[in-house]
Amino acid sequence: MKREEKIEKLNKIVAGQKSKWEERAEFRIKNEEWLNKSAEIALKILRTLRYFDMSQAKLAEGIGVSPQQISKIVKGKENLTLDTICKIEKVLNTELIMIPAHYFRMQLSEDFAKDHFAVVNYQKTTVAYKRNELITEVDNEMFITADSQQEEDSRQKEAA
Amino acid sequence: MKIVNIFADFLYSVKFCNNEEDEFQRLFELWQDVEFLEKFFEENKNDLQNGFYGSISVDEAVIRTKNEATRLEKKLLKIFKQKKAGEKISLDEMFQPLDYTQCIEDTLSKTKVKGNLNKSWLRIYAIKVDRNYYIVTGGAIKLTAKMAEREHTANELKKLDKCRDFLKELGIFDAQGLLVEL
Repeated sequence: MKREEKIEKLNKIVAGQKSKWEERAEFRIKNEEWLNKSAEIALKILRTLRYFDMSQAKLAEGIGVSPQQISKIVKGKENLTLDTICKIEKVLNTELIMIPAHYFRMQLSEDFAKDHFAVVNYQKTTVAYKRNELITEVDNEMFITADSQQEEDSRQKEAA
Repeated sequence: MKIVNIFADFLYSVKFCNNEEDEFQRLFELWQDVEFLEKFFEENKNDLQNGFYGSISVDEAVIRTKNEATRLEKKLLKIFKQKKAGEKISLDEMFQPLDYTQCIEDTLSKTKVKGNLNKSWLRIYAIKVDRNYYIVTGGAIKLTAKMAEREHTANELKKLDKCRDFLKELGIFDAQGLLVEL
């Protein structure tokens, strides 16, 4: 059978029916960042449930949502609210997301610093990085400033 | 069984009557479904930790699969856009014969596409209709050397055969055939 003949027959069978893959793929790529975070949270929930031999229904009951809602969450495709995350954390007695230390440590690579002008604020101190400045020295200085400030804060608290 | 179009007239997918999604779409949904992946790797922990891929934790395997599926999906989407823009794209470079004793030039052959990583366990299976024309029949996370060793991969072999028989019944193809893997 000739190639053209085969393709023509195949296209007749398909008759304009199109997969929704492209649309879904575009959505996944557009929302990749939050979907990755959602997946990591979902995985932690599932591993915790497995560890404690706890059912999804029990978790649903604990946070006051339907089992269908939990089913969506554990697939890692839900854009979760902080409220929902906190409720799940409470029922599972585990942390699902962690925020780094309260003072800001900005770690910039040398390449990034060369191409950008970056300003970092820590309380009342502002440290500016200018294009092409040697980043490591400034970076360390800021860390020392930040750490010293934190130590000073602790000393003042203890004294009070 | 139905056949639907994925890329403008050169990549197709099988759609089984009991599924809402065609096989190609279903695969990428599954490979992003954390609940499915966690359960799958728990059930296949022995293959995951004692086999070809060394010792990988379930957590690591889930994230690795998800990331690899994203990379593969981006690659396919890029090809799709290049094709739409009128560039000459060859799918023949992506698809490999499923059985290396087969000649890739054979029509209706079984083929496969592998994930992007060197030791990738992601597989997309397809029937080669002709040069640059493929019909995806399914896919799998392949943790063993041979497809027949595990039920889920053995089932993919059955789907390839089913699709080839379906095409023959419709009188589209010659008796010769080739199955391929992406």
